[in-house]
Amino acid sequence: MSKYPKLFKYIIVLQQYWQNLFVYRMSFVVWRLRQFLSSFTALSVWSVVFANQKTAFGYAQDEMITYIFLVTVLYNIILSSSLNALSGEIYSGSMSTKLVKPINVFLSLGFQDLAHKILNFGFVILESLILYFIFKPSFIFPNQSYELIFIAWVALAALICFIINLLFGSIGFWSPDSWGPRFLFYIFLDFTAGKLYPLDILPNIIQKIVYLTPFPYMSYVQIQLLLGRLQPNQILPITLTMLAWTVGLILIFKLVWQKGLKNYTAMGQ
Amino acid sequence: MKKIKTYFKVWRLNASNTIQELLVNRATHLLFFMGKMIKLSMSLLFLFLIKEQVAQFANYTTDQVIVFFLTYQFIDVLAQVFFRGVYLFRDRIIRGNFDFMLLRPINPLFQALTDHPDINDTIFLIPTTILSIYIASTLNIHITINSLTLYFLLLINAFLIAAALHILVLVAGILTKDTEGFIWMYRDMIQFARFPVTVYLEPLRSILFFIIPVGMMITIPSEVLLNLKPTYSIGVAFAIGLGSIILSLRLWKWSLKKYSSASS
Amino acid sequence: MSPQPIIQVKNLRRHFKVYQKQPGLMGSIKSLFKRKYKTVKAVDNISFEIKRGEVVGFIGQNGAGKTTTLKVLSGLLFPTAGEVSVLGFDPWDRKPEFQKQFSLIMGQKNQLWWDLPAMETFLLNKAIYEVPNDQFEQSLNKLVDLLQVRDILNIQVRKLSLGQRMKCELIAALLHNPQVLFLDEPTIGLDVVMQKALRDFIKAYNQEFNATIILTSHYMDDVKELCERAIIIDKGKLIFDGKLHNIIDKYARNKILSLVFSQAVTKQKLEKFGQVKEHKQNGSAYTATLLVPRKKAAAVASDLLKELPVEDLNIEEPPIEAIIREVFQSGNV
Repeated sequence: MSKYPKLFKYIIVLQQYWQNLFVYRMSFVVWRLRQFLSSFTALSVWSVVFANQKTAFGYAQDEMITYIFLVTVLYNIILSSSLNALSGEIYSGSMSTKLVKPINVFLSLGFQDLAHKILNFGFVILESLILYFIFKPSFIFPNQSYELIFIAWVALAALICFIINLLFGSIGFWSPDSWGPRFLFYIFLDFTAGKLYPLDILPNIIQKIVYLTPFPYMSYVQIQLLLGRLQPNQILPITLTMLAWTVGLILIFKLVWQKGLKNYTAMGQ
Repeated sequence: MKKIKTYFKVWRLNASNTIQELLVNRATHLLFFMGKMIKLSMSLLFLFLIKEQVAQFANYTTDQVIVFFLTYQFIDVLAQVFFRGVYLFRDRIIRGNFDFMLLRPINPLFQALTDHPDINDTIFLIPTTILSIYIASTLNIHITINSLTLYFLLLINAFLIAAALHILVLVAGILTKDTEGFIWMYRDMIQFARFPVTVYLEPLRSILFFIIPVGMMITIPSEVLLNLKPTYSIGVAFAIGLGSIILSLRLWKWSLKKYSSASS
Repeated sequence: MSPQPIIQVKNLRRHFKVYQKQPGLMGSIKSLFKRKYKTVKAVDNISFEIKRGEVVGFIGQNGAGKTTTLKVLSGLLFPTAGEVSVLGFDPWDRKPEFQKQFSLIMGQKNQLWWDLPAMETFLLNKAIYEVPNDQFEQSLNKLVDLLQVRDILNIQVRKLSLGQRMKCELIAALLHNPQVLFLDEPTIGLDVVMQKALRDFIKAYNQEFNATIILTSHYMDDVKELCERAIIIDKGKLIFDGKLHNIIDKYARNKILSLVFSQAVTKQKLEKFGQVKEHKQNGSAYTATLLVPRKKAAAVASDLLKELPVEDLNIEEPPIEAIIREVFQSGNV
């Protein structure tokens, strides 16, 4: 039995997650349709705006449309998460059955999240193709080779997002619902990692405040990098900030999780 | 008459219970309330930014576009105030609370729609409506007594359509034991009407007028208010209002026969 | 005069379509496009009548169709076929006049507002059922005393124990003084003391209001103690309807002979008298249990007394649980 490849059980986690989704196929289809529709709205609105003028908010039409397409894809890689039910699972105690199994909880949650992202990524590519044929946009990608940095930033952002979701999940140690904070999180996300418009159309003062939060690093900066709208000297500070967020959030999470576990056993659940 | 009194009393008690519950979970609700405020502020901010940078939005001035948004905001929140029960319906079905609704001598549809009046949204509705009227008064738009009267009639019609759409979500809930997807679908569709739905490409545009008629709920009334020529005549809007409510009630009755009550 | 039946069920059927999942990921993908459904006959041609004041127990295994029948009687489920009448109403019409006269109590579901004291739900139900003030006071007082819950009425429901919650559920369901009660597993999950308290209460309610009661339960004790009449349902079909003790006459083939001997007796010797179920030696006590066909029991007993060193002998009916288990296992009735 010990010859059993270690990663194999996590692959099973991945498979089980997909199977589960197929049972709730209706919810999944509706969820994808919603994603599709929000991109569709954004593309429609900007098409209308650019029907009468060449630039708006310092974006040319091609740039803005490229932004919308990219944010749609990144949203599905970075932000989509399977952990929304985690707090409920912890609160109800069904988590304790996972805690006693000989698998690493975080790894298995990570693989579950990965399964979710892979599936969503597949669908968003399909949807983007449909949107492409509806709107027939022309994309622009400035001729720069920041691909590696881009990939690293996307991975870091996904990690930050995963930890934030774990933090929301830990609320389950104390209270059954985490939808209050989660709701607030998604509202902020809506206009900071914006699916409707890029952050830099907002007034300066708001931008400055938003840069104090992790939100701009969850799609916005990555796209700015690809669109060539960042100065080369901004790359290092942004990378360092993202690393700082990652480390900081991990430390906070460790603290919260340990406290939560103590509280958990105290409640005898 | 006695029946109306009973129904009102039941609704009032449900509302009062909901308020008491809300006080128990006040932290969550406070966050929720803040979120809504932020969302509204950011949407308005976006529109005013557009107004600064963009002169013409399809066939409308940007001032007019703001009126469309404010109408959307009002109808959307109003429906949530009255039909919040729909959002909890999946839970009601799965835990079997819907069984209790069927057992009580009060119309189950009434219970399913209204058993949890949304206090958050009620509180939210008042300041935002005042704010909306204030914003509208600062805009460069043309409103007359006539257009205002018709606007209100069309808003009532919009409320009927909203009721019909919520009933359809309940029907879907009974048949599939899932409402979450459908109710959020509705919310997404109505979000299209943040902007005049005439700006969207066909066939979406026709879908938004005739299949999930958010255009009839929001775009047409706003056009009438602004003394613009409505995309479809108001007769069509009223016909769709009446038709959708009749259709949804029939489907509701039919779906109850298919109800299979979560087994214990 | 003999009372009119107030519940009539004639050839009732209720079928469900159930989705069958195929195993494995490939199965899941296939089911994305095409799902297989199977028709389950939850209730398959059942007929019975119940008179006012009767307490009837529904007995059956999980999924036998007990709960489905109760739900059809309550107007929750639309019958696939057949006729149902309760108190002269068709339950499916869900007329308020009908709904004010009965109650369905489900042991596993709650109508109480979770975050509020039970009293709030009582007041809500008072409004829903249009119970006049004085009647409400009176019923509430009586129920609260019978169930001894006066001190918990103003505590948040979520903080109550399961038993306390169940008692409050009962009150919420009975405030409008229903004449007909459908109790679906009312004692499930409760401890023995609480089960007893609920049974006493149900008995008292039946006597006080001459209420008609149908009860389903996993616990034979509930049925034995409360119901004179039992209806056994198996796989959607009614297989027995009559006095509980008639089940014994009808289905129990054997009687049980418990024996105590003064000296050791071999198993072989016992086997010619009947089926040996137990045979053991406890220190100096030798005991055995024999299953003997009912009609021969007396004769066998006297033979035993004559031929073996019997110190003590008892003839017993098998426990009703065992008989019913046998009925379900054999399947041919």
